[in-house]
Amino acid sequence: MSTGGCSLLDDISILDMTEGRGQYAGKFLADLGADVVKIESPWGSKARKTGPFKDDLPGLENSIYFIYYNTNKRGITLNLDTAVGRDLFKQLIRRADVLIEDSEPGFMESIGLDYSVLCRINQQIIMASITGFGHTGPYSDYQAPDIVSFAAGGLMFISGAENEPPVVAPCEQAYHASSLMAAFGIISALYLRFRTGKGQFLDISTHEVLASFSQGIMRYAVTSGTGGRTGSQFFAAPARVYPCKDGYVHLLVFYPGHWRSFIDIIGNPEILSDQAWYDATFRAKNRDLIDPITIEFTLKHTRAEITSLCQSRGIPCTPVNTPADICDDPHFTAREFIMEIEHPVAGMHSYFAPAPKFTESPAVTRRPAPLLGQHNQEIYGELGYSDQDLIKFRAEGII
Amino acid sequence: MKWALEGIRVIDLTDSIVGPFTTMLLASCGAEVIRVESRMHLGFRRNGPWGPWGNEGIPQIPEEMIDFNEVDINLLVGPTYAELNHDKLSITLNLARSEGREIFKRLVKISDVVVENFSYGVMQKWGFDYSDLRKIKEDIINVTIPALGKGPAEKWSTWGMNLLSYSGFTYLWGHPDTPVTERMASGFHGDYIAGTEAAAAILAALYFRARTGKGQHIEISQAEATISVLGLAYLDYFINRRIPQPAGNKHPRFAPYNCYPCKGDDRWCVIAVRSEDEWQRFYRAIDQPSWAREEKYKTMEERLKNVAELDEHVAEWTRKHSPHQVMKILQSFKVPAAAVQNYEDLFYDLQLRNRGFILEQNLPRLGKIEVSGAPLRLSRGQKIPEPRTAILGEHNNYVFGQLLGMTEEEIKRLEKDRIIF
Repeated sequence: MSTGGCSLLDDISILDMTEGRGQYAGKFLADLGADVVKIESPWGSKARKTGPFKDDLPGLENSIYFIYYNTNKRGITLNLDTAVGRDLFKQLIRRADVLIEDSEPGFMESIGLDYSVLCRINQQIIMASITGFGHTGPYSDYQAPDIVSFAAGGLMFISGAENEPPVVAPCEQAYHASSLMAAFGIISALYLRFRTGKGQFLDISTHEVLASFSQGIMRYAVTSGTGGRTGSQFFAAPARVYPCKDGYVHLLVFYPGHWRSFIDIIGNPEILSDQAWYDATFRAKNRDLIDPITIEFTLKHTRAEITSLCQSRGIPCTPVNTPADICDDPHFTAREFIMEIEHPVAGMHSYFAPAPKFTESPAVTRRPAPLLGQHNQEIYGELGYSDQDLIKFRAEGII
Repeated sequence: MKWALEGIRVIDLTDSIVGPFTTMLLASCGAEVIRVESRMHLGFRRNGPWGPWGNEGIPQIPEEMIDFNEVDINLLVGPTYAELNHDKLSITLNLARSEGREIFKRLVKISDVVVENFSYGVMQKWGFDYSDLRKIKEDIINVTIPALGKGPAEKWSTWGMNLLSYSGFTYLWGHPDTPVTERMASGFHGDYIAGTEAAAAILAALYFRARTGKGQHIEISQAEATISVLGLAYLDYFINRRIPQPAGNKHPRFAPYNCYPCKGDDRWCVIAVRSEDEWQRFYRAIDQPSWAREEKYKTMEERLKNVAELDEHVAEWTRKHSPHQVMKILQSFKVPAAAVQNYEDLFYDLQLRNRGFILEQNLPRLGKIEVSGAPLRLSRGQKIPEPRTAILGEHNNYVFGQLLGMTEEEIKRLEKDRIIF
């Protein structure tokens, strides 16, 4: 774990009030070097009560959910329901560059901390608001947990097996998508501010982010089709997930060149020798014939064998992995993608190195997720409050 | 300064989805994105294998069968291309020829960012490795978005769907009883996640350059970006040594919380009741049925215990309504619910239309179509996109003539020699 040095956003201080859909934004920006301070209520963020937990034992410092989203952030407690708490918040805003929040539209206004107030305290503040449907429009006050955004955004309808109900993606993908889009928006706003000195308000609608990820509007415009679910099946053959000797592989034979290599690998069966088979659409229509022949081949080989045979001939093919498989994958081991970090309660545990690799200003994982109120003394100290003050704040339920 | 990225010039060598989405985000903040293309490799311009399935009238000719002289460039704008590449400039430059590569270097000299997602080795073969590019322009930001990244598997050929399987998404994306072979692995989620991360990383590098004067090389492995957003499943394995299994639509702590059938064929809604308060409002919203007052549904704990029966009751109600009726009724009681919207629903989505998210374009072959606009709103510095996709080489004169100072004769000669081609 390195500290300080020259990193991308090391002059940026961010206040992070998020409880759900916006948590990954601050996490990503912290990886890029920003000082991200997570603000929690004195009773702990909702995330601390969300599982899974270490050893399945619920506890404020045991939540894997909280650890995942808050590694690399500092943490303080603050009760915004009190006037003193709101005043402390305004003092924090005065020295911050960015505020990220993900409450329902209207909430920040109801506690007197909306953008029109905050920008008077700090003209340069960049406030990013990540909501389900955005701050304007007929659905703006709709409730939007992850599954609602995933459904309304058009991705759920096309997710899943052909004859099953639609299925939501694992691990809150609507939240991750809008968080990353917010991170992008925040850095553009920082760049503009660097050039003009002006802050601003960012309105991130999870609904819009997912709608663009689904391509649904364009597809309907072109085909008048509603879309549908196909599991792993792609419009070709063999082009899906197949069982093999020790698990599953995902094989995509699309271009004529892929097909040439594929029939070669399986020993050029007579029945597939006709030129017509070079056409992916023709093959897709005759999946019933190709898939059994493919499975006969895949069942005789391991994931590694099939992947290496296909990849050596330029056919897109990968094993179907679980997290356990990835931990043993030589590619990621060589890249040091999985690193060790020590959390005071969870102990030493693995974590990801930040995905973007920068040559000049590396993104680094510097610190474990904060314990509840771990940096109160440090951060309120920076505002000029003494330990005596903090004891008083604590007694009054302010921090 | 009107736009956040005003005056920033981006050379875009990408194709397919991840790269064009990255540069589309940069364009939405006002960067000048120049797509370097060629008749020799048309890629997604033609439609791409990923065009909407069953799209009539768009030829799916293998690239090797195209006579490049005969190609009518005016017709070459496929819909997926238009979705991701509107409001960018297009030039044609044949990088397979050394004269083309020399011109490319002149372009690098006057640019800020170079983005590519070639297989590993292509840029190096052309002499466009980062060490080469920085000799041409010292503070260049050189971005690569490979499938796996440099390492033992750097040469692997993988498509977006493969990466879902490789990263762990496919294994986890299904109902608890969905066979592995039928789980979800046919989307581009990884492309969009990696593309958004790449755009954010590029901006962070521009910000760093503004402060320090230093450029750099950025590599974003699509696989690593995709794995990172499954962090919760991975961390559960890291800390508890448990291999996570697909959870479907149910929630371990809340009920009713699921996807339910609605009136009509293949029509669905989702409902998520997360507290006693929401349960009471749900109860009122569905007209206070007597079953809901039974002891076995009284608390969240009880409802979770009897969730199968509970879901049957809820489905009985949802089957009487359209997905949008369910959304409207429940949301008016502040209960989280949504229509599981299909492409048609998205197209007519009131919220998206009200916020002006949808862009209308006129394409040469397809005529008027609608595409997604920018998925974020900055109150300052965002560009209102030009709802138009450039035809192949439309900006040759601007880039080669105006920016690089070539004469008309020179450009003509290079066109004839298939360098600007």
